[in-house]
Amino acid sequence: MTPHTQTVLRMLLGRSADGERQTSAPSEGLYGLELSRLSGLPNGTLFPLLERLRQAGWVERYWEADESAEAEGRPRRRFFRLTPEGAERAPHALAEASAAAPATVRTGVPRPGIAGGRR
Amino acid sequence: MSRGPGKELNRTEPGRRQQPSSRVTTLVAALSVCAALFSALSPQLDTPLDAVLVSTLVAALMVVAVLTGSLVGSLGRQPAAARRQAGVVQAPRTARPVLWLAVRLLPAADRADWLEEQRGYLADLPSPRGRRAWAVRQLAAMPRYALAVRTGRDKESA
Repeated sequence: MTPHTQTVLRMLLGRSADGERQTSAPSEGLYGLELSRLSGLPNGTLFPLLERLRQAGWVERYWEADESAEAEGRPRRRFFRLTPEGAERAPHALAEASAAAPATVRTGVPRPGIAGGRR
Repeated sequence: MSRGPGKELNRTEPGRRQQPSSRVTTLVAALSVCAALFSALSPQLDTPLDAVLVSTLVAALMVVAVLTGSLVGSLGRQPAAARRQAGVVQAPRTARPVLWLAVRLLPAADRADWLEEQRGYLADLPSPRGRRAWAVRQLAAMPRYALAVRTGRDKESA
């Protein structure tokens, strides 16, 4: 699993990018623009990734209710969220990926005393 | 699909045309550029006839460009402050053809939804520059996205 996929899955699980804090409930969808801003991924990475996760059955997309869009006078938005299957499997997959990755990759910050870190 | 006020994103104002005074200003600016080019080139040209030919050609090209309105999109346009004051949120003209071009790569069945999704994003981006940048980024992203959509579809149908 690529780091980009891990980032997106963490966000859809409602966690911050570093996986430490819970930012929202996993059942809540994320708006595409919000995902783009929070993840910092280029569109050419983010949207194909979401599409592949959707094809794998981990992510679903849905339109917001017409009423709320019309009340605010704007086009309706499309949200992305984890399916029940994705919500069940993603934490395990992330844990496995995290365990398999070297410490420097796992944390994203080199640590003193660890290969690649500053001593 | 019609979304009421969201239509404003694609709305153009039929009554708003480029003012004659701004065209004159643009023309004067173009001629000034011609004069500057002429003065820069003239020492390097061998004969006065060459200089006249080059400057005439440059001037003709600039005038044609100005008259067809294709010189620079911002020249002669209403200032941004005036557009904001008018309170009309418009998708930049350049965003629409860019998205239209991008969506051609998608399967026909997915195009309408993708365009509607993009309309939502454009409506939420605060500045015309941001909307233009988003459209260009989506155009750049489209080959990979279209590949993901099409290969996934092939797998599903297999």
